[in-house]
Amino acid sequence: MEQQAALTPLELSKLLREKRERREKIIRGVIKVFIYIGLIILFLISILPFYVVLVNATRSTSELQVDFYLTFGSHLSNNLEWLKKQNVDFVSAFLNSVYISAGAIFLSVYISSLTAYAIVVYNFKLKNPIFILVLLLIMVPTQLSVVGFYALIHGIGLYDNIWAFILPAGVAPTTVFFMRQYIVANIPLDFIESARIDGCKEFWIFNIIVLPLLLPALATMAIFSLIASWNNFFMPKIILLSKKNWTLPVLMDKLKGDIYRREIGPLHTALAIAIAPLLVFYALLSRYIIKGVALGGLKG
Amino acid sequence: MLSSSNIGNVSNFDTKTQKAKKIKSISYRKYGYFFVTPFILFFLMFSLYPTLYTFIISFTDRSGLDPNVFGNFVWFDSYKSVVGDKFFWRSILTTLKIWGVNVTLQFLFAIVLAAIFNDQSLKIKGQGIFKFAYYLPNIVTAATVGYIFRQLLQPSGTINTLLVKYVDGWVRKNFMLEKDIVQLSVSLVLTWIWYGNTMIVLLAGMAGIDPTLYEAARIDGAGSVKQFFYITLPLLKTILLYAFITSLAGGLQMYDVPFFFVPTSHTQTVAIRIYQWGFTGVNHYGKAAAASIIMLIITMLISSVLFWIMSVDVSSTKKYSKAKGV
Repeated sequence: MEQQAALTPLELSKLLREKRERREKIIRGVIKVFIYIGLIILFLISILPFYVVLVNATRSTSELQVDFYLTFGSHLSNNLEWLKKQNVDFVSAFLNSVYISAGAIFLSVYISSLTAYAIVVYNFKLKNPIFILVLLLIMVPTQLSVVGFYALIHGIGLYDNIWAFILPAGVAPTTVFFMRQYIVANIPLDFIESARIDGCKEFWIFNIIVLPLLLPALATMAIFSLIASWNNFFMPKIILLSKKNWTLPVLMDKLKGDIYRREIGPLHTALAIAIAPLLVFYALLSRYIIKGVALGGLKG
Repeated sequence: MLSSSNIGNVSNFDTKTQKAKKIKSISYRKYGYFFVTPFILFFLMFSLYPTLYTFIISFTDRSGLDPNVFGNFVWFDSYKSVVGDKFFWRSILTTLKIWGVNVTLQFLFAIVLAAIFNDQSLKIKGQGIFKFAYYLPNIVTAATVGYIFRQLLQPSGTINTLLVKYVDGWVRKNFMLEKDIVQLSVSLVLTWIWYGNTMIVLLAGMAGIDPTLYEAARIDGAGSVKQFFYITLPLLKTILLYAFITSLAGGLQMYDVPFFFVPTSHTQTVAIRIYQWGFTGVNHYGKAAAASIIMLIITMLISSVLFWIMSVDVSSTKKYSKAKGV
């Protein structure tokens, strides 16, 4: 008190302000600690189920029946052997998923870029109607026309054939829309014009000059195409009947039988095999994926 | 819009006569058609045809496994039988219930997280790692995710094992037989899958908000909470609506998670109902098709409401396109 009395009013107000600021800083610090705790809890909730699957994949059924583990066990090879004995062909299902994804990525990305390029660069009568069609297609849930799709696949002889899931990727309205926005923002038309003066043919201008410039956008869209076809389950379950054509999600569906419900060790190994490729892929490319989500904002 | 600027560039670059220009633009026109042809062909075959065919089948009594039997035209009988079917309405109710709980929680989490990450005074560290983790559930097959959670809840699953270990006298119990628990679980799983995605979309929207607005608010003495309610939320209205309605459109088609999770009547969504009519038992394609068309119309109505709102709210739409970096 005595000390304070000796202060001038100016010094006093400064002292009080400092005191208030210090208090606010402490409050902010406490709030921040709570926020971090919340964020970390959510972090664990998001990651833990995958981690538990990976851990359980290395544990035996009898171990899993009595306890819950956070460290890896030593039964991975036993579980794999058990799966092999059941005639579960992961390799073939994995390859089918890879083939379908690769084909679907190529078709959706290439055809969509061509279409977007045409809409931006050329001036033709149907240009606006086609763009409107693309926007309409984004809104219409074509997944609901399953009955018609089923009949079509039968009609063109693609029943029980993985091409039934590669070819439809050619219509990717969201990708067309995204590529259009990217071309408008990033490809200078003068550039195309100078290529024309150099005598390049239109098709080669697109393939050799424009396509490489679209690479960042192509990569983003390729990732989404991959996730979509890798996770596709509804129609493959109906159409891919023979075992050699199953994809990973279809195979997972077949593992629902009773025998797997009891053998939970090997079941987790199977789950781990199904998710591992995507986890690796995501770990490598998450930055682009998250950027793509922010840019697109169009996923259901 | 763009075409005219394009042609303008062409003419600036070329010092040829008006006539030569015209010839040039005509000759390029054909490439436009040439380049869109693949898309149109694929559209006709894999998008238009199945939709039209579904539409036509919805007026027939087609059923059975033989794809060559077309069935008779019964006009609106299939629609009548869908609308009169109590299972159809129950499946719509189930879908809306599961989706409703999911969307409420999902948006709550997403908005709060986005606001925290966006707040300049908090300066949260490790945002990259948090975003990485929060988006992770979205990447893994919904089918697999459903399977994982089913694994947690079933009698021999992890949760029961934990309860047996720590709760005296706990008898292993099948959580999946209880309607409320099952529906709530599916909602929570969907929230878990989608909250990271919604958060990132909302963050992108927030990034488009003019930072000088926050500066002005700070000078006027508004704290983080006030800034959020008076600046962020109003300016985010359009993108919030957008995210909300895309979620509804997706939610109406909800299939894999409930199907993989617990294939009981408690989680029978509309899409599962359609699947069961069309592809199990006697294959009532007509009925399945009619139900699909009804859902298609509902979804399109919702989508057009979205587009109407977006076009009305021009000022925020500008913010949105800015956020998208367009």
